[in-house]
Amino acid sequence: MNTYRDGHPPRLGLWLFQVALLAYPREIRTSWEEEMVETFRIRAADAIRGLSSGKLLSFWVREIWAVVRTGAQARLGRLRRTGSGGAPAPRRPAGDERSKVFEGILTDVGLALRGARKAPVFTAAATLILALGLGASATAFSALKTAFFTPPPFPDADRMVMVDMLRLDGDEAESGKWPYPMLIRVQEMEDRLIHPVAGFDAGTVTLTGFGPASRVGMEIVSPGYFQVVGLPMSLGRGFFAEEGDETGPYRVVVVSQSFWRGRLGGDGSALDRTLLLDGEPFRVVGVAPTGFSGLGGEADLWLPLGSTVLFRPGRRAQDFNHQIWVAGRLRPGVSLNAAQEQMRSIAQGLSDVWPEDRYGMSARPMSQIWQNSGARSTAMLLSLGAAMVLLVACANLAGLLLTRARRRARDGAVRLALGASRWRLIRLSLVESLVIALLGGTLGVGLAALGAEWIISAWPARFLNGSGLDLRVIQAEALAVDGVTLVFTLAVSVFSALAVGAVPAVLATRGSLHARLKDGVRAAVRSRSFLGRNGRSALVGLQVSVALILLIGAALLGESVRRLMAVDEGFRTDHLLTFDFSPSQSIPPINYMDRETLLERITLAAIFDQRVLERIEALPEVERATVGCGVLDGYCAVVGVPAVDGERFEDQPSIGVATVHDGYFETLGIPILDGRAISPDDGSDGSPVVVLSASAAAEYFPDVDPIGHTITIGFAPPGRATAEVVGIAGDVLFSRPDSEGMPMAYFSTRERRFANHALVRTRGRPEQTLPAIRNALFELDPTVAISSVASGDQLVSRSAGDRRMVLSLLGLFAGVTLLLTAVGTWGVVANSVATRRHELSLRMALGAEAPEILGQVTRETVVTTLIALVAGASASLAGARILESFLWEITPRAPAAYLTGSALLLGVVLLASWLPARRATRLDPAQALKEE
Amino acid sequence: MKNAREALPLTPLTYHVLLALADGDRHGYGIIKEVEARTGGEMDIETGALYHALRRMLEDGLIDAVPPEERPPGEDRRRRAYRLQPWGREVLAAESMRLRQLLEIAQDKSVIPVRPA
Repeated sequence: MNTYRDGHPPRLGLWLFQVALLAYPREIRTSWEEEMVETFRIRAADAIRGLSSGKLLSFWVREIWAVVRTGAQARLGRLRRTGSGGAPAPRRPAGDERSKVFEGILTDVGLALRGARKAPVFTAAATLILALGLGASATAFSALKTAFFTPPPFPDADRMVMVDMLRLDGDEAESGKWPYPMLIRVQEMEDRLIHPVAGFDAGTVTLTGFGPASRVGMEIVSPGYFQVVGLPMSLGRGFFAEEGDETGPYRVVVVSQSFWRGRLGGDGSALDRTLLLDGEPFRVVGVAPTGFSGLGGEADLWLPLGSTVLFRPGRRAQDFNHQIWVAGRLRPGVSLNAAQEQMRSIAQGLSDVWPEDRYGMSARPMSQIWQNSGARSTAMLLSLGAAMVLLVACANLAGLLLTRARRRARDGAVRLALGASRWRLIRLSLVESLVIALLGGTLGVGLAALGAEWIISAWPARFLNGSGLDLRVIQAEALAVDGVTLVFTLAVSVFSALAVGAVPAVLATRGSLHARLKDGVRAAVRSRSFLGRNGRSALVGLQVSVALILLIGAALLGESVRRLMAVDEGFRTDHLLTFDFSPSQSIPPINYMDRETLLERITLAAIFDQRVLERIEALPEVERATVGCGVLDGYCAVVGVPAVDGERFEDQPSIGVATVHDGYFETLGIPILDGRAISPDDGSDGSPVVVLSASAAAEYFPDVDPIGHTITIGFAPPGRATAEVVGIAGDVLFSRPDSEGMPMAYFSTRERRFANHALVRTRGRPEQTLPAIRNALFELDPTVAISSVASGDQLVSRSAGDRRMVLSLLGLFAGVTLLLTAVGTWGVVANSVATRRHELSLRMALGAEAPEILGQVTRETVVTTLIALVAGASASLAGARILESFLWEITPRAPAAYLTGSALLLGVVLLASWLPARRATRLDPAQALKEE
Repeated sequence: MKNAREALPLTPLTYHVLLALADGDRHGYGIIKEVEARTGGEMDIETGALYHALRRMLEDGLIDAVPPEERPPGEDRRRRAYRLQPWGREVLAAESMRLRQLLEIAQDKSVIPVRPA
């Protein structure tokens, strides 16, 4: 239920105790609550230290129950004076109905608890069934709540906005980052409705001096950043205005709280320490607010904007092509609409200053970005699935309760005959189901805690189909089972208890007293009332229908994921290890402004690549190694193609570009279809060559053999390149299998450079090769950090995206409902066999054969199941749309999924009815008839 | 003058709490601990039940809260301490006498040995 550490009472326990205290009238609470909680806290700590977990649970239950009980007594003004003397106890006013009812309910609770203890198997089964449903609901609810209702963890989060710059191009608007000069200009406007505003951009730096070099997430931010965030710094300060300037004292850094604790000792001496970032010294001036990991969600370090000059020398902060995200806060009392309006007119002004383009601006609430649509629809789908599990669990439980109600029919009749009121019997029944509901709810919350932990580990870091600034939408901390989830679970348990418990309770007390007294159980069965076989059949039918819906959903998603995984990547994904390595700090940073140093750097980097690859290939575990840009989830650039063979295109079509080292195609197993691959001589003599992918060749040279022709690629600095096509390579998956294929152009790393991404073909398991590679690189250059390690197989499975998580949860839900349905069916048939012993025995005595008896017993279930399958399949067809966006290359109406699901269910139901039915054929007629 | 015998019999909880306070002031947790120790863990008092009883006993004048100025310095202000009142002592004695009489009857009838083994 909770974890107990160091004898501290878990928050959940204290919280429950405090909630229970609400049973007391307010005036008692105000003067006693603090003291009671304090005493309870100490006792709970004792109990945790001294008691086994079973006893501990009973301790919690007893304590909380005692508070509720005495609280209710106090509330009803029934402070009994049992023998404590003083003033004589006030006599209860004659017609104090309220308290009498209350007392009655207390008695019922006692009765129900005793009953639950006396029938441990029934109690355990009912509790477990309900717990499965409630656990699923609570888990899904915690995801739903986080995706929809949890505000970003900042003060006055409703006033926080992201401001997107729109480039208006006809009807199309491309939203995103701001050119920095525009931010400066907007910041200077005094009457802005969005104030403060700050720019930021995310990236990584290499940290050296703390063991092996490592890549650390960082954000380069403008000085007002921490004011926008609005949380108090844990230690030290944020950034001063002059630190945003590249001529200012910008060598300062703010670290995250976890970085501070993990690497800097977590005390005040951390301030003024020096960190080496990409080889440059930075002084620690502050520790970021608790739990804060940047507006981009992945930062451990924050550097002031002025430091841009160090990481991108020559690219000045003030440059137009220096682009950053912008976040801000609405001034108090200002509506989002008003701010939008103002931003629109400001953007018009900007279009006048920079007339090459037309600009627009749009402010989005931070909460919208924090929870993007992908997360929302996923959470919705899961909730729907969870609701179905709950429905099946309730139907199942209702079946159990009906059976019990039937068994008790005679008992109830006796009580009625002795003068108990009908309402009194119904109330006891309801209280009994409430007790089961609360037990199930408690266990369900425990399951939900496990479920939440699992979701946190499986929830994708980023939802791939978000747009714009894509945040880590679900904060792990927010997913934990908290008070809101508890209240939700409690409410759902009580509701299910009443819904499920009411029907049997009412039915059990209805009808002719006389008949039931006389015949008891069999009368009810024969009557074919709801209490009899019809009711339970209907419940089985409901379970089968809902289970089918879930099974179909899971089957469709499973097939989508299978197809995604089965897509031919165009290269060998086995025995492949990929990772990024940071450039050696002995190589000067990129200087975009200076063509000479840029070329020199590219050359140096290529030489460094060569040395890295030599080291790695020298390892016995490694077959081959190369450097390139990523495949499947890696980073390559997409650029325009201005011309082919000197002939200019009107609209520059896009092409993906990758810069690759020698051996790239051989290492990855990409076939060269025509011409040759990139060779070590390419790129050094200044006449660029390019290898095109088959689809690029088909697109740009539809009619001719492209070898020997030229294609012009619109690169960033050092500028566009017109290269001779020397070869055609097979197509590979550029990113995810469900995204459009991208035509590719491969250049030599001696000519261009995008990324330091190593691809290693290993002999053994890729992961096991990593330590040796780390060592080899560390020996070569200790300032080089390895990051983003993944095996080829991991890349493939990751490329299936968030569908995998949805699939596994939906699969789990479907499995649970299948199990519940099986158990439910089994129960119905077993019960039917038990109650029809007499009749079946007679039949056998009269010469019925075993198959006939089997048919007798199972016929009804099978017919019900068939009807339910049709109903479930129709419901699935009707609701197919919901699943559509989660599927790939399969329609939500794929017959295979429906057939598989139905066949599986039918099989399970048949098995679940055959097992108990078999027992009917082994009845000894003489024995059974004698019993009657 | 009230007659202590009219207040009898006490609930076991009330009796135990009075006993726990007989040899000194205690706060809520102290009372629970004392009762637990004296009864070898037999008497297990829930927090809610204890405070319910304390409230009643305060109302009936059996006990009183120790005034803040008499509390030892440094004591947690959130924990009130409770003190047996003369009336409470009277009732405690009366109940004890009653129990002793019952005990003697049981001994006379050889239900239990005269001297504990």
